[in-house]
Amino acid sequence: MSAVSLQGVGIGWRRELALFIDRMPSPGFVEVLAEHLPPTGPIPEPLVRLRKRGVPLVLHSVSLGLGAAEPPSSERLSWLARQAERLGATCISEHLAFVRAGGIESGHLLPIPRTLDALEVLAENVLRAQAALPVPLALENVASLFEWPDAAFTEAEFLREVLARTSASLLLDVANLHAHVLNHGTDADAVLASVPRERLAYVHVAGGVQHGGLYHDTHAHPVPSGPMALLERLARRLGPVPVMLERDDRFPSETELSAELGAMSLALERGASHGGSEETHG
Amino acid sequence: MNARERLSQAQAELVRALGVGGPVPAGFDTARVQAAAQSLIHKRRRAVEHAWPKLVLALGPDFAARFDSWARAHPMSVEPDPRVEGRRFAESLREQGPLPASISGVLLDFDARWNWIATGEAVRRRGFALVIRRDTFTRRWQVALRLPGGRVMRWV
Repeated sequence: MSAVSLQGVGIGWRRELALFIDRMPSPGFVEVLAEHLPPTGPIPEPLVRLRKRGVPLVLHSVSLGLGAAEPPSSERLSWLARQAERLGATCISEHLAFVRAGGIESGHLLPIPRTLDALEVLAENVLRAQAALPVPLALENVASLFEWPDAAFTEAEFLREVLARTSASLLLDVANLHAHVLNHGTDADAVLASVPRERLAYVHVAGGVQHGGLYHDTHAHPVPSGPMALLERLARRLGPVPVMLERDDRFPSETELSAELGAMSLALERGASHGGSEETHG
Repeated sequence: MNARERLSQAQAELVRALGVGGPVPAGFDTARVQAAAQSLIHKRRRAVEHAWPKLVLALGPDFAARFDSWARAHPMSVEPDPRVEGRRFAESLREQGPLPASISGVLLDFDARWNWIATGEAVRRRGFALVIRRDTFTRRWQVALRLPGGRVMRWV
């Protein structure tokens, strides 16, 4: 078991999905964006209801920039710690990315170079964050359209190094991994094999779209078969893993959303029932 | 230089290439970085479209092109808040020429509710707030009053 003990199939909370999530019979867990929570005052009523129902809440952040040359500021960290406490979050997740540099906000999660320099800085930043946060931290792999030159590690090696140098858990985004398979020829099986079950907090699944020869991880389109297949392969290695759907825009009908969540459950079942045919070393 | 300094320089160069059309740093795939830059602008625009539907309606098919060129010249220096992004963009339009009356009213209403600064932050006003200004083009006075509780009265 991971330091973060989530289970089942969950979903990312968005205002537009509040009613749908309210009606879900038993969401495994619900992820809440830290940047969407009001900085002060009460937390939104639907989230209070989820907590009363006993649904574990995970706090997801996009603005720390753990991979940045500049370490996360103590103001930012105490803001995030406060949000986690207000929400009653069981864990916090952030990205293996940077979001600002040289006084400019990119407004996006930018990839970090897979070099020793970046690894060293990242590990220090993660330690600093962990010391300031009240609950376990999980780190997420991001999707990008380009790669840094002169990588010293493959993506799988880099993830292994991150796990070796920190005590953080991993939030594995199989949609981002799918994007990297298509955009950069990343070896998906090597990445899946780099994740030991006890370090895996949960898994993200999201939709995207192929455009101009590149796969864009939009969270605004249906989930293609690629990420679902990766989820199944992961479950084949590790058994059923906690997984959730991210949808941020162009919200589909409740029927479509339910179908995607159902397909995720099915992928887990199919994978887990074929488990054992592959080695599950970490 | 230590690891942080080397990383800092490299990340700043990349962010300039992505945010303000700076040169793509050596070794990167130029077309890919440009595609990412375009996708970042698209993301900014999409957020502003959500926050300012009336501005999108007023500008019609020109919205995307005008927003994109404004956005390239105005990188974000604080965390993106689409409300303020849209307001700053509208301000740049206001400086260029007369705005449709529908938009003037929406901007006035926004200004009565939010105290925003050009670097991109907004704080919700409390209690009474009065906004009085003279339209640059029509020379007419515009007045908005926010009442405690949040109701805004306008005289445009």
